Amino acid sequence: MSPRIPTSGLGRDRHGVLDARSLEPDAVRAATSRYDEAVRGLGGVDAATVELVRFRNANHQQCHL
Amino acid sequence: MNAARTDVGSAWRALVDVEDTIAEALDPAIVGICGLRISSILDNSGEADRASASLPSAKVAALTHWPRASPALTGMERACLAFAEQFVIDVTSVDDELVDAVASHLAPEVLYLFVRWVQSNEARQRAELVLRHDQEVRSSP
Repeated sequence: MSPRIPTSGLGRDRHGVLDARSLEPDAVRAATSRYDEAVRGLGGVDAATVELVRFRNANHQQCHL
Repeated sequence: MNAARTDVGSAWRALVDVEDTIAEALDPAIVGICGLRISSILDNSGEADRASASLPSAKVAALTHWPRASPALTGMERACLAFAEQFVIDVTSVDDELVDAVASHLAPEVLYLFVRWVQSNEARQRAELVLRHDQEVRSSP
């Protein structure tokens, strides 16, 4: 298995424990926080949008639905 | 207490900001060719046109024939391209060989940022395909 690098917080794999935050410059950490906050503020995604995204991605990658 | 409501435009701008902020720490050539490859996989023609315009024509031509070897692509660029395309096609199939190839060219903290950038770029391009919102937001004050 490849090392799984988390996008925030702590991750553990056969290589040990990685604190991803220690690898992030302050500007990236701040931008990520703003994005997380904005997504939380959306209050979720409606079912129709989820289905649209699923269909669009499947269509573009020629996958089976 | 509920978080303050935000609109899709705000979330979109925040996502673009994450991608752009990370990109500032990376080699522009890597960002350009990987962004172009991801746009090709996702069939995002608008992004492909923008990315192609920002790259030397020799690299764009080399990507047309990727993964065939080309002197226009460095070993680092080839390793990053291979990683990025596997990440987008099937992230669960990214293996040690792909990671090690990139790690042989990038310092650990840069490798981490590269992975974050690929993730952000893919998310933004997939959202763009659905929302068709990119140009309006990027050009808004």
